[in-house]
Amino acid sequence: MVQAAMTRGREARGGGGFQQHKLAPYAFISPFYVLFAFFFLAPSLIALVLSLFRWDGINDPRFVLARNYGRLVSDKVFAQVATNTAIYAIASLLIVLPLALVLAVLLNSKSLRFSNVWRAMYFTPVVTSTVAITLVFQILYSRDTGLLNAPLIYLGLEPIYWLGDRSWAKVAIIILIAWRSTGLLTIYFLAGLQSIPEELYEAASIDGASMLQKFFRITIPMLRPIILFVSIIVLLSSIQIFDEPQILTQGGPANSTMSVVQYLYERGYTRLRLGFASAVGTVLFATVFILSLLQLQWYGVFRKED
Amino acid sequence: MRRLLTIATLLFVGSLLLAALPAAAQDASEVTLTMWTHDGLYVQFFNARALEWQERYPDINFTFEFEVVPSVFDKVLGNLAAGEEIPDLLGIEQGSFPRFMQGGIIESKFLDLTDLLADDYDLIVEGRHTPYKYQGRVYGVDSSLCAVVYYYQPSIFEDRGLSVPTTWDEYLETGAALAEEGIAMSYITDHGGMFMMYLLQRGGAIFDDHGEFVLPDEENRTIAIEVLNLLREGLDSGAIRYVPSAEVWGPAIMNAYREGNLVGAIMPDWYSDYILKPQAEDMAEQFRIGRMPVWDDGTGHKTSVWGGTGFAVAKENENAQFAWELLQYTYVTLENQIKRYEEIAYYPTMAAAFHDDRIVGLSDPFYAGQKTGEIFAEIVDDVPIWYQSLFRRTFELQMAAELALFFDGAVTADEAIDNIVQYMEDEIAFAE
Repeated sequence: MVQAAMTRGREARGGGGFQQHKLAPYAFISPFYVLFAFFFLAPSLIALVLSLFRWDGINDPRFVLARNYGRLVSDKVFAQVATNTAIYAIASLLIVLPLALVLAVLLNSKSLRFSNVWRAMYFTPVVTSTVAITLVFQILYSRDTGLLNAPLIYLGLEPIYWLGDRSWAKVAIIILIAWRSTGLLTIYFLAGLQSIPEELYEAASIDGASMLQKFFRITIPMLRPIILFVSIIVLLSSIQIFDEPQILTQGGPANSTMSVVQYLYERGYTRLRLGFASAVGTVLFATVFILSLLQLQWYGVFRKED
Repeated sequence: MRRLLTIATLLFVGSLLLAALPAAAQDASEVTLTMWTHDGLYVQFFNARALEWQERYPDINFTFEFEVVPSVFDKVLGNLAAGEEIPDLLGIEQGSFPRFMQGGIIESKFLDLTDLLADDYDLIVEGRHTPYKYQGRVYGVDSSLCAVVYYYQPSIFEDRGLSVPTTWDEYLETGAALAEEGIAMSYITDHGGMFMMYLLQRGGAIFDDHGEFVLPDEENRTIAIEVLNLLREGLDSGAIRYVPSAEVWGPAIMNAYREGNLVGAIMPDWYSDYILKPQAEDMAEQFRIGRMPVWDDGTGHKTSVWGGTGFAVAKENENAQFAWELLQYTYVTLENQIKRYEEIAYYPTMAAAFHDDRIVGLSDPFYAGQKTGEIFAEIVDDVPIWYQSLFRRTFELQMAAELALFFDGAVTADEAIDNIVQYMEDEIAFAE
């Protein structure tokens, strides 16, 4: 009786069952790929094609082959903004990443009181509007009336021209990036730290390991996947930085704080050179892609396990 | 049966007519006019005039949706690219006009106002048509003359027995004396438009009436270097203060005024109600308006010009005719040009208004009752012309960078001009 019911069930599912079984997994994973194709692959390909045209977005595009790339290479402003962006990326990796890790370790400490309050405080910049933050920083950085210069002025020292000096303006942007993104990265590291088994530290303690030894021999190796993830996030976000320099300095003075994405935006939307902006976007994409691969390689993601 | 069919047919046709008639009537009596701009004062002024203007059409129920739209030009250009609607009236800030010149967008999407202005064209000074010209045709009606004056705090001069300087030499001399106390006469920023303002006063030009880049011409190059050197002298002595563009429209300047370490600003007419009054309400009666200093050798102009917003009419919108009529009423009538000065202090562009008693005799309480129109009346006959070009914005943006380097002492005046000329020639060649 039971056997007969099972047979009937199989028969009921039978018509086209082979096809269904074959297609079902693809159907389940298709939403991501459909969205990926529509919102990433297609625009990327269109941008690549568009980079070979001159187009203002309204009239018909005109094919110019590699002329946009030629101008890009010869434009000294692009070289400058690429350098600025590289400085932001390097500063983020060297300052923000270690800072977030140290903060996460401190927040993970069992002896820390009100840890939830501290965590919330560090996370606040992440959920605050970039525009509001940047405007507040604009006031803080003001040469004559800003809070940051107040002690210098009080002591009779020359105030720093945070937004008017080419070097200090970069520092001002980096400070803002650090303040804004450290909190989020700290949360990532904190999640990683909490997944490290406590027994490892206990065993190390029994063996007489110092705090530093535990940090470098247990914490860092165990956090390797998180460090990889966070460093890629930091690299991507710093290379694509736009809001902070746009609102704080508008890329000035003398383009000293302009990022590649600001340059892209200005050429694309202000000068209506969408083909040229697409060429910038394509170069940016290629750069990010290659750097991400290098990072993965460096962290040994492609290394075959024995 | 036939009778029944006839009645049904009549009822059907009747209902169609009934349905159609109210719709037609509604179409004729309901009109919504839209306007986008970056400046709330235009919204205020247009709203007031629209209420008067609509009385010409008692049978039509107008709705006016005039608003300040953030990143308004990005949004309009985005809408045009996407084939979406744009407002009936658009206030195009003259610095952004080149974006609409690109690919002839202004010609294909906005009304050519040259013939519509007809006889009124000559009533408005030519220098206020040129920023909105494309291939010799006018596409915008400007909002103010944008003539430049000196906004200053008289008490700073009076307390020290100094008089308001009238020439650049006097300006630098007075400025040097004040600088010893840490007080600057005015400020300069790394904005290409501001540099053009000083250059035009000296008699130089960046673009000619055809939009050609003429800065490399020997005469213009010489003038540009002279202007930069004047600014250099002022910066070095402390008479002129450098304020980065990121801070120039914000509270830093107003605080400097309040603290008494900055006398004022050399700025166009719009600075008064758009920037100064709203940000320094507490400083009412502390400012006056004076003439921009002139060059001592007697060459150049009495004043200069910077800025402006020209209102354009979207020609594919169904209410284009109404929009033009409203614009004409609001901006191209003598009465309303005078009202504009009375209500928002944007100086008239029609020559007939310059010496009108209502302009010259108007006392402004913010300036302690000063008849500010008198100052403008002295200079309006010598306002230089600001020519428009497709490459104007490209120039301004890169000149801003060169200015920052120059103010910083990283390049000389000659190098700054050579750099910008080289950059512009590369950009123009690339665009061809």
